[in-house]
Amino acid sequence: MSDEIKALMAQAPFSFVGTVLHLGAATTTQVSIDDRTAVVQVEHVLRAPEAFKRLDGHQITVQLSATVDPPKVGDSAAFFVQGVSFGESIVVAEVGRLPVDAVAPHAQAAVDAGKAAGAFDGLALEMQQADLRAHMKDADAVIVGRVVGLEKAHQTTRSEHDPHWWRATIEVDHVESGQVAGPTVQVLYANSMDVRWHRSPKPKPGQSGVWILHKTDAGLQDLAPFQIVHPEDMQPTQQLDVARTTGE
Amino acid sequence: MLHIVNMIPNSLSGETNQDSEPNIAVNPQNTSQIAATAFTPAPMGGSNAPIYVSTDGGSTWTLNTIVPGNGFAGTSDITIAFSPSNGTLYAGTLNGTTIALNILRTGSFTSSTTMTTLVTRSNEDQPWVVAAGSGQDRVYVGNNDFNQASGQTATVDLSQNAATAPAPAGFSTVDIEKGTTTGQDGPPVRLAVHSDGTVYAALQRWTGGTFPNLTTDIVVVRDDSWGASATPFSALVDSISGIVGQRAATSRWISWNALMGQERLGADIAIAVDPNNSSTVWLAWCDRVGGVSGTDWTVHVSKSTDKGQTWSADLRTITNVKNPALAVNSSSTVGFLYQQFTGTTWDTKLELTTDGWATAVTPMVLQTVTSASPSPTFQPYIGDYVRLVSVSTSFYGVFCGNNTPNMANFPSGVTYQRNANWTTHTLLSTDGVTPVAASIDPFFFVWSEFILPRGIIGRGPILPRPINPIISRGPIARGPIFPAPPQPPEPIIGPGGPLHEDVEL
Repeated sequence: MSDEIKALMAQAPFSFVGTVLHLGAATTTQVSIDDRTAVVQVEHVLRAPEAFKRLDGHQITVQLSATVDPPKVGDSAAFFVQGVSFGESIVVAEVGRLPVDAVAPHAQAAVDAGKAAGAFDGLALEMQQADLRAHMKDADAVIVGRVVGLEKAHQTTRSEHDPHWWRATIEVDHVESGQVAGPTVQVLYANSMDVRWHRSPKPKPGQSGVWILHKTDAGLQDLAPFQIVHPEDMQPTQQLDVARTTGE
Repeated sequence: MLHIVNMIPNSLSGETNQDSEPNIAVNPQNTSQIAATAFTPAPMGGSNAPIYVSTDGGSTWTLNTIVPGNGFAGTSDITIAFSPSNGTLYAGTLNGTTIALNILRTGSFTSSTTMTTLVTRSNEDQPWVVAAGSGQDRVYVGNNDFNQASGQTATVDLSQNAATAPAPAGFSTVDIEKGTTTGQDGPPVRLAVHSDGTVYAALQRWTGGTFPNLTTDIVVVRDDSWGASATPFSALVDSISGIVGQRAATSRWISWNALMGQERLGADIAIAVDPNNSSTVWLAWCDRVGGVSGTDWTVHVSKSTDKGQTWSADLRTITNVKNPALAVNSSSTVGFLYQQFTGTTWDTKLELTTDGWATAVTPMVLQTVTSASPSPTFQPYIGDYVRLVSVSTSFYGVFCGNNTPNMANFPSGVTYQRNANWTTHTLLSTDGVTPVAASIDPFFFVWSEFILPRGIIGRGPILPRPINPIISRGPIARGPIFPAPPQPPEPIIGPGGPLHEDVEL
C-alpha cells in the first residue's frame, strides 16, 4: 500500500481525508460544473504545501477523476489532488483516491506525533532520498570536499538574470563517483540572487560537504570543468549515506 | 476615489512567498475583468504558473494556473495585456522552467485551459506586452533580444492580427535599436500605442562606462502606422546625430545592480501617450544624478508635444525612486505611479496632474511600509517594474510591498482577502488562528474620478477584514454552493448564503 500511496503522492501535492457533501456543485463560480464536480469537506489534511496544512473543516471543490468510480454523497475517502484555482475557496483536480482505511495508520501516527498534515512525512522523505540518489547517479562526479577558494569567473552584463558566474576551488577528500583529477577541482556556481538563480548553491569559504558535479555547459568549459547549479548539488556530508543505500 | 486591495486570495492566507514584480491588464470592454501577475508560484506546484484573475473590478482575486512554465517563483518576468475589443489576454513571459521568451494567448482568462504559446525564443529578457487596435488585435512585445546583431538588442515583437491565428499568429521581430551600444541595450523596452496608429517605444541605450557603472541614453523611437511601416520604428531621427531614435536624455549614469534598501537598481523607464493627441507623449526614467560617486536613484519626467522629436526639461524629479509608471486617461490627466525609498520605508505613491505639474501635486500615498523587512528571498525584492493603465477616466495599477496588516501602512485604506488580525498586525493562516510571517504581496488599486467600478460598488467603506477566526474561516467553510445547470435562472438562497447558477464569466 505504501508504494501505491507514494505513486499518488508523486502526482498529487495535496492529499486529505474528505467527505463528499454535494455532487454536481462547487464552492466557486470559477469552475465549470458537471456531474464529476464535487463539494468535499476536508476532514483531515494528510499532506500539503505549507500554506494548505490548516484546511481541516473547509469545503473545497474537487474535479473528480474520470478514471475513478465517482463517490456518493456522504462517502469519505482519501483524496489525492492537484491545484487548479485558488480564490475564496480552492478548486482541485483529483488524480487518485484510496479508502480511508488505507491511510488511517499513517494519519494516526502523525496525530500521535503531533504533526499537522504529516501523515506521509516518512514516505515523502523516502521519495526525496530516492530523488537525491537519482540525482547523484545522473551526475558526472560526486565528491566530498572543502571549499578552499572562491573567485569571480566571468562577467557579462546581459540582463538582471545573469548567473554572475563564480568559481569555487574544492579540496577533494573523497571521490564517491566519477572522474576527478588532482587534489582539487574547480567548480562554477551562480552567485546571483536573481529570481532565476537564488536557489543555486552558493559555496562559502571553508564549507565542507558532498558536491554533486556536472560538466559545464557549452561555452563555459574554459572557466571550469564542472558546475553546480541545481539546488541539490550541494549536500551535507551525512547525505553520502543516502547515496550508498539502495532504497530497498 | 481610491481603492486598494491586497490580491492574495483568502484560500492562500497561509502563503509567505515573495510575490514581487507585478503587472496588470484591464479589459477595456468590461472593466470588471482584470488580470494581474507577479512572481507567484503555482500554490500546489504543477507545470503551469498562475495569473491573478478578478471578475468584479478588482475587489476579489483568484489564482488561475494557466501560464506554461512554473518555476520556483512561477514564471520569471511576465507582463500581460488585454485585447482592446474581444477579451483575449496576451502574456509575454520568461518561461519559469526554460527561461525562454514565450508570447502567450488565451481567449478566456478565467478558464482552466493552458494559454496557447505563440512564440518561443531563448536568450531574451523582460518582455513587455501592449495590445491595441480596433477590429483586430495589434499586439506589441518589447523585449531585450540578445540574439540581435551588433549589440542592438532593444526589440519589439509584433503582430497586426494576433487574436485567433495559429502560432506564431503573425508575430515578427523588429530590431528598434539603430544606434551604437556598448554591447547591448538595457533590459526595458516600453511601449505606448495611440488609436491613430502611432506607436512609441522607449529604450535604454547603453553607451559607455565600465561595468557596473554605465552611461546610458534614453531613446524614443516611433512608428506612424501601427509598427507596419516599410521601415518600422524609424519615424524619429535624432536631431543631432541623425540616427534613428530621438535621444530624450544623454549620458546618464547607472550603477547596475546597486541596491537601494533591499532592492536592486538599474532599469527604470516608462512612456505613455495622450489618447486625445498622439503628438503628446510622456516619458519617465531613473538615473544616478550623482554619477559614479553618487548614491541617489532619481526619477525624471519629461514631455514631448511634437511626437517625440523634442523633450521638455524635467517636469518632475524625485530622489530615490524606482519603478516609475505612466498612464494618461481620457481626460488627458497624467497618472504617475512610483515607489520611493525614504531610508526606512518604501512609499508607493500615485500622482495625478492635469497641467504637467505646473501646479504642485500632493501625492496619494498608497502604502508606506518598513523597508527593513521581510528579508529578501531573491532579487528583485519588490520588482523591476510596476504598471499603471487607464481605461476611460480611471487609473488601474499594481505594486508590491510588505503585507503587514497595519492600517498605518495604508493611509488611503486597503482591503485584505487573506486572514489578518488588524489589532495585533498579524497575518493568519487559513484556520484564522495560526500566525503567518509577513512577506511581499501584490496590491491592486483603482482610482476613479466619478464612479466606482463594478464589484466595489456596494461593498461599503474599505475596512480591514474582521478579526474573528470563525468569520475569517467562514468564506470557505460557509461558502456558497453553486449547483450545476439546469437550475432556476435566479439565485436561490441557501443556508450558507446565495446560491448562484453556474454562469460563463
